[in-house]
Amino acid sequence: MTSLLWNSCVHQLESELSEQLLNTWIRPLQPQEQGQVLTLLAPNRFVLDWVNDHYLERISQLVESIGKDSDITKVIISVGSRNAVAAPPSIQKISTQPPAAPSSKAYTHNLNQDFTFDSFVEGKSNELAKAASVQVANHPGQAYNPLLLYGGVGLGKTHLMHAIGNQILALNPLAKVVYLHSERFVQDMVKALQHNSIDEFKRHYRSVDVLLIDDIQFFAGKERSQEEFFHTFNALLEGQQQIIMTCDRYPKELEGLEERLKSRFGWGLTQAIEPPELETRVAIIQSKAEAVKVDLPHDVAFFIAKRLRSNIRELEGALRRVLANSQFTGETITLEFAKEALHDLITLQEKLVTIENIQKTVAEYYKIRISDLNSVRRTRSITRPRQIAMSLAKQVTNHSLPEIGEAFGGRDHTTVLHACRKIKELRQSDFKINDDYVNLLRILST
Amino acid sequence: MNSGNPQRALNLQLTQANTFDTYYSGSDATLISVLKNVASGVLEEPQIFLWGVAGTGKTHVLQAMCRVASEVGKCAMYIPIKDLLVQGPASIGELQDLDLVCIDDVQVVAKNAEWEKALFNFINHHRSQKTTIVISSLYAPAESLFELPDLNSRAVWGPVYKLMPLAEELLDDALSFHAQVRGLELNDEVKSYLLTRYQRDVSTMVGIIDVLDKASLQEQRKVTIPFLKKTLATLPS
Repeated sequence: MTSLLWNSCVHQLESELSEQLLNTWIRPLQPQEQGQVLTLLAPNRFVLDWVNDHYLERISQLVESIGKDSDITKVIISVGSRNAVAAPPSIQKISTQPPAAPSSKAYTHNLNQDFTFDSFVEGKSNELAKAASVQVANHPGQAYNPLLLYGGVGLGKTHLMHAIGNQILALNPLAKVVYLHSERFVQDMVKALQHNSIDEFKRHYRSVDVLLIDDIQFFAGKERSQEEFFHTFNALLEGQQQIIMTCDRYPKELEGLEERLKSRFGWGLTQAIEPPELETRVAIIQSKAEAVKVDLPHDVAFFIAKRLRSNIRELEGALRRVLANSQFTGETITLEFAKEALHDLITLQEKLVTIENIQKTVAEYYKIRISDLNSVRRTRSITRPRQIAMSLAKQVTNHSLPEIGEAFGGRDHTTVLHACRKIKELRQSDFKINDDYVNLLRILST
Repeated sequence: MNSGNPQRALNLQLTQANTFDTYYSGSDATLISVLKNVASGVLEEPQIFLWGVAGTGKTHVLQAMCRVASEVGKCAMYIPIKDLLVQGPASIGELQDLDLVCIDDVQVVAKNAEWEKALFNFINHHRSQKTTIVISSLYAPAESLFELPDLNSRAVWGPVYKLMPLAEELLDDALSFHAQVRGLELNDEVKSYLLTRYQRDVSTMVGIIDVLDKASLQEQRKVTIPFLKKTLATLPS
């Protein structure tokens, strides 16, 4: 067996190389026997080159001496993985060449099957986004085209996007649905240009029924990619093929994105997802616990949801930590157990800056009263510090715009947005404001 | 026979294998058991973030995880990002399917836009491939570790654990443990000497034990205070 021969080689190398070198260059290699050739599959081109330059000669010597009785006469290295080799030949990945441009690939939707509408927990913060997504999933190319979901990181945009894709495939298994991250689009395009296969690239992306493209903010500043995406976008819309996009902010606020793209993004429906409120966070935790068949006490879910406010990934991470600890200590999950399991995380959270703390610091800095910040007074000596405090709150806390507005005397979220923009603008034109802002940031973070 | 030069110790002795057996878990026993079971595939965990000050053993446990995974036939890769800085972000790009990737010291690429983006793509790719990702950092991910908000949110997309510096009262025990792992005997007098004169953290102690181990093998001597003083004379105290 190849693995025995390879294992013996690795065993020998253990006495010659450090643990780090073994783990970085040798253990990731996957052996595969083909006739008299032992092929070592390296995880990427970089590892291939490195092993080729530093270890292949020694490995060949070892194979020769250890494998005297085997048929192996040659050792080669190529980029690939056993999992890929097991796949049908059409997507064979063994090659010493860089991976082929995407155009030659069959349609692979890349959808995560776990992200469905059923596993999406609905609350006030995301109900409109979900409703629009369900509409699009049931009537692709007709309801809202394009659909653009935007909101901060870790709020479920990608989940909804996958859910739409999964639902479309469930209703029509023959639909050509493709999900990809915008960075992938850029990388594929660059590869296609390098391999002179840009026409195939265009054909590939323009022939899909549904294109799901995540995090379009990564297109910012990449003119050639924007140009290509613009044409793909137009071709898809003309063909009534559905486009769904996500972005981390309102697309009109994206810097480095061409105006014509911004305007086209707004042709369909642009829908925000806000950070989930407490009840939704509790429901999310309980739903994730149910998914792994754990009966989580309500007070534990409430405790985690209260501590971690804005990011669903973080909520999930904390829950998984409690579950893992319970599994290996055999202890039942109680509130005390959860507190103990998450103690360092809690300590960190407690150190995070609060809006109250920002108001207090800003008021002291400008020698005004906290009540002034929350008052209706509009004199310049009060409004500037108030705008700075709001802008700081947006930058260093996890609170949403409405929550910040509420904390500043019940103001509207558009007032907070205006404050953030104003301060950003002033920091570039007014040194004093910029200095104040940087000083306050320093005071708050120490 | 050569008599002038001290006998050279085998290279084998220079590198203590970073396995879970050679890791002193102290108060982190539960965490270590979680990590061991994640590496062997008994516990399914898509992603783990480990952080802690220097010398808490992050590199050791990451490498131990790779070894455990390899022993059960999984394909694992340890990525010392510090050593790959000069090679650029392409060094972690386009990695084929692996079962486990352990990426060490991610804080070194924080605030570097190209590397942050590469790390972001790295996490997206491996999450979609169902590869288990273990990340280590000197700093906690919640402290705006990265400039890219998308990367900060992905950093906490799984349990975040802090590796604690060893408590003072466990240092003596840890010292005995690491000596024992190497087959080296340290009497109480020697331990007390080391703990009062050198930096009291595990990585310093392990470094000293390695030096003593090598010297005692070369000179075929037991570790005594005079031997220790002579051997460590060149080390900063």
